[in-house]
Amino acid sequence: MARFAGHDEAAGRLTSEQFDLLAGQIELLPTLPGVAARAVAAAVPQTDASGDDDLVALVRCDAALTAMLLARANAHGSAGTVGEARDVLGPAGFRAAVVAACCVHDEADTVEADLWHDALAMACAAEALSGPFGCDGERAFAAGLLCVLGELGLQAALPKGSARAADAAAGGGETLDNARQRILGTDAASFARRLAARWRLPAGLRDAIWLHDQSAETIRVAAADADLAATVRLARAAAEQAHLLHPGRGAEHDAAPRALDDLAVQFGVAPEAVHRVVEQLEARVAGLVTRMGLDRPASHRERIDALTAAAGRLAADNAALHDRARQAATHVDALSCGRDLAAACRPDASLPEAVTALARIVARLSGADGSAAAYGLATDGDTILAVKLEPGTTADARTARRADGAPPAAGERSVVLRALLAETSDLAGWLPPAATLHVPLRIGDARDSDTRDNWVGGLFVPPAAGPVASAAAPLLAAMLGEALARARGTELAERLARACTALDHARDALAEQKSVAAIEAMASGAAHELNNPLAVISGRSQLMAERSDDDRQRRTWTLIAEQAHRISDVITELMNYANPSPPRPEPVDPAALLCETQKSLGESKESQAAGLEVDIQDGASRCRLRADRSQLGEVFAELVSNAAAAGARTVRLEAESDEFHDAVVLRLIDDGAGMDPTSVEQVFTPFFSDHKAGRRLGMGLARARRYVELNGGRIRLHSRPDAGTTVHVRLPAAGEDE
Amino acid sequence: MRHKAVYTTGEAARICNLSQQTIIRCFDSGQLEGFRVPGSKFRRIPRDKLVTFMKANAIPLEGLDDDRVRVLVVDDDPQIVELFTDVLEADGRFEMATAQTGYDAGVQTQQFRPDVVVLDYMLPDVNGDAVCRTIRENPELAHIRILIISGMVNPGEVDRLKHAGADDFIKKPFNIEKVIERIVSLARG
Repeated sequence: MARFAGHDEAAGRLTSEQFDLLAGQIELLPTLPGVAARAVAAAVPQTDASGDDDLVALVRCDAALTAMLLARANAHGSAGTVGEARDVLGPAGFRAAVVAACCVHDEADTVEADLWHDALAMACAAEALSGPFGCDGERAFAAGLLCVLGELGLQAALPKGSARAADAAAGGGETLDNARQRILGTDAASFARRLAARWRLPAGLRDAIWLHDQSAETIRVAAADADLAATVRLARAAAEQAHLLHPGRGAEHDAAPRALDDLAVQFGVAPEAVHRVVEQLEARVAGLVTRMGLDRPASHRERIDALTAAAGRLAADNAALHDRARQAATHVDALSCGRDLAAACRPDASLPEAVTALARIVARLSGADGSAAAYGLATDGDTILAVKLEPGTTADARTARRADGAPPAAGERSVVLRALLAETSDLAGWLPPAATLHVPLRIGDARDSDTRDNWVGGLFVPPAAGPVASAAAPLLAAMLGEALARARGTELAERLARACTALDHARDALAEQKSVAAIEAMASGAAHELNNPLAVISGRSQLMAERSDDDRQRRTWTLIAEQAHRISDVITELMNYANPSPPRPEPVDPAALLCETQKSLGESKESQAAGLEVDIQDGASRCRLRADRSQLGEVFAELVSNAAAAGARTVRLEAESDEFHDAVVLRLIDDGAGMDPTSVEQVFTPFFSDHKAGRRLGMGLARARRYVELNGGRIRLHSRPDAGTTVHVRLPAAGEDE
Repeated sequence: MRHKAVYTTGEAARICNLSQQTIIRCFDSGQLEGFRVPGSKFRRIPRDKLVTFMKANAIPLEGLDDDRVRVLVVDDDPQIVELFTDVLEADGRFEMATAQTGYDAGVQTQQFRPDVVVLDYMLPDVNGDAVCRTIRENPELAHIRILIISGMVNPGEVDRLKHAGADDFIKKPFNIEKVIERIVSLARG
């Protein structure tokens, strides 16, 4: 994958324009080797359109190939499905494009295969749910499939950062999207939107991909095709409900179990219809998985054989294309200036595309030499985005930090660069040597020419082209200004979408806070109103037991007293859950605390934790976190008791600092019986218990979550039947001097 | 219950079945010997001086020999009060009085001079911590031990009550034996 110059992936979060540049450099997304081999094999033997159906059926199930073909097709026409893309490109062009895409990537096995399963699950669900929304099934399938477009794009463009974000999310304590936002500066949905815009996918399809995890209200307001976007949103929820999405992409496990029903009702669809789709989804997805060969290990050998077979076919196609290209070349020059102008003015052009188009126009205007550079101010106002063109090379783009102060006036390059660029920038040596004259681009009235607000960019041209460039400057400035306004609009829309997500989370948190407050009020009232009669019942029973000579009667009276205390314990648990003591944080050694907890649990005869072995990973004994020792001890006690109750023989503690060393992520992994997905969803709900016999109070994990959150942390749980349980606890790290 | 060595004027009044004012007058006139607490004006009467005073004035000595623990039970729930009455009277080691409001509790504390107050936190007029503070503000009542008994179990509330002067806390419902043990151990101080 090509990278735009000047970007160091280790440098961290990127700006809006840098993401546009990245999106612009992604021509093809990598597919899995096994899929590529099957696609090439399906493409090669065909000599006419009649045999294309198999190829279309295969390609429509692959997000990478679907995206690539839609991008190709939308460069020439309009296509929202693979079938339409085939019609736009023609059978030969369609086959050639598939084979070419499958030949280009040789690092495809670095891509996460889980994505294909997730994509198929969402696609099948979207197709099945398209009816109630009145959408075309094939279009809904494509939109569902392409929900993973942003993730594929980020993995292809920023492999290291994406892997770090995936590791951070897998370590627990945050969602994949939060980790991406923190580490890369974007989330997959926003990046998908940029890719879709870059490839000119239909607006309805683009928004359905972008908004696939947003709330119903956001979709209604923001989506170009609200029905399609709603179909995809509901499809995602259905795939989650069917447990077909891999961890990280699915909803948080503590999400309300009725979320799917609520969403269906908000979209005006009967929940029963959605449940039917959920029931049938696994079988539908399994069929497609088999068809694509995802259930078999991917084979490089198979792919190489297919590619060899394709080579001859491609050579013939290439020769034919070469002839056609030669014929067309004579018309290109005449058309290209107009094309560049059109590219800069295109309503969906990104800022980098507009600046590149400006550079091309200026290079043409500057005559035979053809070297020029153009720059535009990025949406953050602190970055400039520059593109240079030199004869015989492709456009080269990079970003640089802008100097503070007033915009530079027209003049010599060296003077301008000093005024324009921060000292650390290396653009001075990078600009084409012939382009020595600076022409600033300003929008609006000449009287405002000294203000910073109307400065949108500038041109570097050879001196001879100066007069022409100056004459064209107002028009070019208007084009650039429009692109900048569009870029700002895009960024605002993305921020708004993120704000909507944050608002949704805040709303959920508020709802939970309200329910906790209601529990507190109820428990406080119950404590007073119930504990008095319970005290009378218990006290009188104790007196009766004491006065009774009959053993059987004495046991009965004692039992009544004990049960009264048991009812009171429930109220006490609720009170502690709703209104716990404020934490008193101190540095804590989690490994030592876990051993201590297990030991004291093991001393109790009734405890099942007696035989449980605690295995501390080396790294865990070096981590120190900051929390209330007694509350964290109770969290550990609950987790260890649960592991023991699930028949675990060992509990392994792993711990590591997160990359900024401000948090510690603990993982408690047990080898117990594990839980089914329904239990996992409800495990933090007060009074939930999956113990069939010997039922416990069911407040333990709810209280554990409350304690972790009170201490500024998060707790998540992953479990599968017969595969043990892993609990991730993220807590603030202790300071270095503690 | 061992005998006390030194009595306050209130305790002496109760033992002699006289008003506190009469005892103070006798103390100030020298009829009843004793001493003042250093640095304050509070009067204290040693047991032997009190016995001398009682004999000199033909006051019956039975009051002196009553070594039962005096318990004031304060709760607005009559069933709880009745339960305590049954339990404490049946035990034989206690003399008890009851109150159902904070106001009653104040009056009874002055009149009955309990050793231990068993105090419900939630009273109809004032909360238990106000009753605690009122008792603690009166040095004449400094010997009284306060055992809060409540259905509310918030650890913050318990801390607050102890801060207001409560000596111990027991949650409702309770184990009767443990409550009695606690009352006796508090009275023995």
